[in-house]
Order: sequence, then C-alpha cells, then structure tokens
Amino acid sequence: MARVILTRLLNAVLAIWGVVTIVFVAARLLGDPVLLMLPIGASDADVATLRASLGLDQSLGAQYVDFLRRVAVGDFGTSFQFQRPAMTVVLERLPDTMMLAMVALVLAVAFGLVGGFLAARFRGTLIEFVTMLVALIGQATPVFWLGLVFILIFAVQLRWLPTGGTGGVEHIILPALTLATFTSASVARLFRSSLIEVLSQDYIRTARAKGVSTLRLFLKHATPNAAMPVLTMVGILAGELLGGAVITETIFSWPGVGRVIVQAIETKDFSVVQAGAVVLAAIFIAVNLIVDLLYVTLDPRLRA
Amino acid sequence: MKFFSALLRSRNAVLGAFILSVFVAGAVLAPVVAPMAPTQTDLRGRLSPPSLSLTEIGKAPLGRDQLGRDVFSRILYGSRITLAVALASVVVGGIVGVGVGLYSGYRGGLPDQIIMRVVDVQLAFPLMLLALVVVAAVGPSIGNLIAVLALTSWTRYARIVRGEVLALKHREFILSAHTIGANPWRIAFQHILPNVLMPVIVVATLELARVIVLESSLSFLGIGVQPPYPSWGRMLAEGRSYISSAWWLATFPGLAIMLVVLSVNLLGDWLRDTLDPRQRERRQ
Repeated sequence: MARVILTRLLNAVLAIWGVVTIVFVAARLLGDPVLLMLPIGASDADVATLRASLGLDQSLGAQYVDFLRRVAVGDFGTSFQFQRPAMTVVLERLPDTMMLAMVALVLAVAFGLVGGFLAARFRGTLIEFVTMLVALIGQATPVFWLGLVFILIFAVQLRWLPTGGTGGVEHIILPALTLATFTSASVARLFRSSLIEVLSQDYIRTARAKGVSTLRLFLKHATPNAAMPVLTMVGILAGELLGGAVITETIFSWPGVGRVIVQAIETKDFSVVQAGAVVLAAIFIAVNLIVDLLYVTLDPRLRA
Repeated sequence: MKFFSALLRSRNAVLGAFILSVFVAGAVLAPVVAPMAPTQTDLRGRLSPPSLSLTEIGKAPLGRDQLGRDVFSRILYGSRITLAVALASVVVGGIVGVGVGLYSGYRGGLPDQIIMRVVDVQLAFPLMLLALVVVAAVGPSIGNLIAVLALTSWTRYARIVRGEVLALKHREFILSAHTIGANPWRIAFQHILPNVLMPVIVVATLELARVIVLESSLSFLGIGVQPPYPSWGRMLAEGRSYISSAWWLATFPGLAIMLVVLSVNLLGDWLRDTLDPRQRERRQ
C-alpha cells in the first residue's frame, strides 16, 4: 500500500516537471519572446538589452535550470499587463475557477449518473432512447456554442439569469450548466454501459433469484461496482473541465484563471499564460492522484 | 461489401454517414453551391435575417452578417477549412503516433520506457491548455494550428499501437519472420502494421471529432484560423456581439459544428463496436 502511494506520488511529481518542461520548450524554442514583446522596428541594441535583462543571452541549458529554479518557488516573472507577479495574478483568480469547476463537476456527475441509471433501468424503452439521444447530442455540442445558446434563451429572451459576471448564485448557474453538459453526457454513456455489464454478472442473477426487488438490486448491488469506472473517469473529466473553463469563463466574463490566460495571450503577457497553464495542469495532476489513491482504497483487489 | 451491408444495418451509422456526406459534399462543391463568395460584403443586406425568398435583395437562407456576407456561403466555405485542418491534423498526428507506437512497442527496453513516460507526461497536460501555451508561443496560422492539433493527438495512437505491438510481438508469425531473417523494418511495416490498423482507424475517427471541436474552440478564442478565411469558430465569435439582435449569426455555425461532430461520433462509435470490440468499454 505504502509502495503504491509512493509510486503514484512520484509519478505526479514527474508529471508536473514534464508540464513545466513543455511550457519552457514552447516558450523558448518555438517563439522568440523578445521579438514578440518589442514593437516592430525596434533597434538591434534594444533587442539585445531586453534579451540580456531576461537572461535570454545565456545557454539554453542554463536558462532551463534557471527556469526550473524559479518555477519551484512559484516565480514566473512579472506580468507587464498587471505589473504584479504572474503567479499572484493567477492565484487571485483561482478560487473562482475552482468554484466553477467544482459546481460543474457535481452537476455533471449527478446528471450523468441519473441519465445512465435511467437508460440502463429502462433498457429498450423510449426512456433509454431519449436519454442516450440527449447524451449523444450533449457530447457533440461545442461548449462555446452551448454557452451562447443558454445566454440567448435564459438571459436575452427570458431574462431569468444574468449574461455573465459574478455575484450571487444566479451568476454561476449558466456557466456551470454549460461546462457540465459535455461531461455529464460522457458520464451517462459510461455509467449505462458499465451498469449493463455488471447486471449480466452471476452475483446479480443470484440476488435476483433470492427475490431482491429491482430497485434495490440496481441501487444496492449493481451501482457500487458499476460506479468504479465513473470514478476513474472523474480524473479525465477534471482535465476537460479545467480546459473547458477557459472557454466558459470567456463567454460568461467569469473572472477565473481561464479568462485571464486568454486575455494574456491577446496582450502577449506570456508570464501569465505560463503561470496559469502550469497551475491548472498541477490541479489536474493532483485530482488524478487523489482519484488513483481513492481507487486503491475502494477496490480491495488493488490493496495488496 | 460486407462492410457496407453492416453499415446499412446500423441506423446510427447510416445517419452519421449521411450527415457527414452532406457536409463533405458541401465543402467540395462550395464554389458551385454557395450563392455568394464567402468574403463578399454587401452592406444593403447587412444583418438581414434568414429568409427563404431568393429573389429579394439582401435576402439569404441563413441570413447575412454584420458586413452583409452570406452566412450560408460562409458556412460552406468554413467547412472546407474545418474539415481540411481536422483531417490534416488527424493524419499527421496518426502517422507520428503510429510510428512512435510501433517503434516503442517493437524496440522495448529503455527507449520504450522513456517514450511511454513522455506520453504519460503529455497526457497530464489538459489538451486545451497545451494548445493554448503552444499557440501563444508560435502564433496562429493554419500550419501551426495543424501542428498543435496533431501534437495533442499523437499520444493516443502511440499508446494503442504500442499495446497492440506488445501483444503481437511474440506470436508465431512474427517469430518465424524473425527466423527467416526479415529485417525489423519489414517486420514492423509488413507484418505488424496491418494488424494494428483497425484500432488506429477507430482512434482516428474519434480523434477527428475531438480535433474539430478543439480547432473551432481555438478559432472562437481568436487564436485558431485567422481572417480572411471563414471558420465556424471564428463566425461564432463574431456573432457573439450580435447575440441579442441577430441570433442567426452564432446559431448556424454552431449547429454546423454540432452536426459534424455528432455524425463523426456516430460513425466512430459504430466503427469501434464493429472493428474493434475489445475497445468498446475503453473510451466513451
């Protein structure tokens, strides 16, 4: 058990190091930050000065070591847009993103489990057809379009909810629903097929033969086993939610990390882009670590 | 022929194939079908709503945008960009991923360990964020966009192919090829590759849908396909400012994305179930 935990922990650290390396490679090898930062027509002397002040005149290896050292203490440099450390800018926005992603995750799993349950329970009926149709469409609907359609219907036409921004509970409903739709569709499809597979197993037949009621059979006997793949999936879904947050936040003017990354790309404020991407990736890795450990705890076969 | 009779038996797959064919036909025949050039402006028809009347000035089946450009024509031409970019990235990502997977699985040992760790690490980076970081560095252009989308995609092929190769490596026909002295290239391409193509096709189809969504997301954020090329994501982003007065600007491009992704998903699900039953539960 301790060995398993240690390996997983080590893998997580390795993954974060890898993410930081990818960010470094993207920033230093693929583009010249100096040429992007200075206006067109800047003199060679200006270019050289800025390059030296950013440490870009050193060897690539030295730059990499320096980058790792600074990232290790959370220093991504100063955001010239906000005139503050990039990490501070990102961390300030983090609670809003986490709240949005968390509400969306809860909604997605709740809708997904109910949808998958209904489809498996009423197999071959209109109920299964409709839930699976909705799930298929949900999986094909781009997040940004769904957000706009929600705004058009609930904010512009019906005027029930605000079009964006933050404030009360009413502000989080549309962004969270938008973000949750794709995810809940995936959960519903997975849970349905997982339930159907579990239901064909011998222990279910035995329970049925003993006269266990259908509802009890589903909820008590089948669901715990069928829900295990869904738990694994939550790890993957966290990535979808954090990535999707970039778009959802932009549409609904939600002041989270995703929106600040997009703004930073527009203004070429790279330190914020890097800090934001690393922080969100680290959260994704942490969620997957937690899911892995939970899985080990919940599945007795993996405990040895 | 067996393939097509199986295709016809599945209602979902037929629907998917039909929708996709309509879009592909639209993309190919865009210059013939489109009533206007995608970039042609006509200020008389500015923001005119959808109308079935073809004779009236400034009228269009799916309406006109803020510059009087025909939304229907732009969607047709946009499908060219969207489908071409998605197809190119799936092919590029597929070739790289299959190559890496073949090498990694066949070579084994330390190179395999290292490659698989790289795959794990890259999968630890949410794809959207990876794309954002890279595009921010290299700048948006069609070529860069294809490269970035392929970059988010190769890992899936590499993993599947490597797994298949490991399973095949010790089978008799590979061992006998070894014995008669076939060189590794010949074994990899002649004997192993044909046997891993089915799962690769399944992954490629599902990746096509994912890549279309990611491309239009990036274009929506303004860092994907750049004007003057019409792209569905970009059209949506422009239509967003007119959401309360001209609903058709954002609605129709979004509907197009949804239909294409839905059709590719339907086909992909069916292919997975038909060609590769083992994968059925692996990816939903």
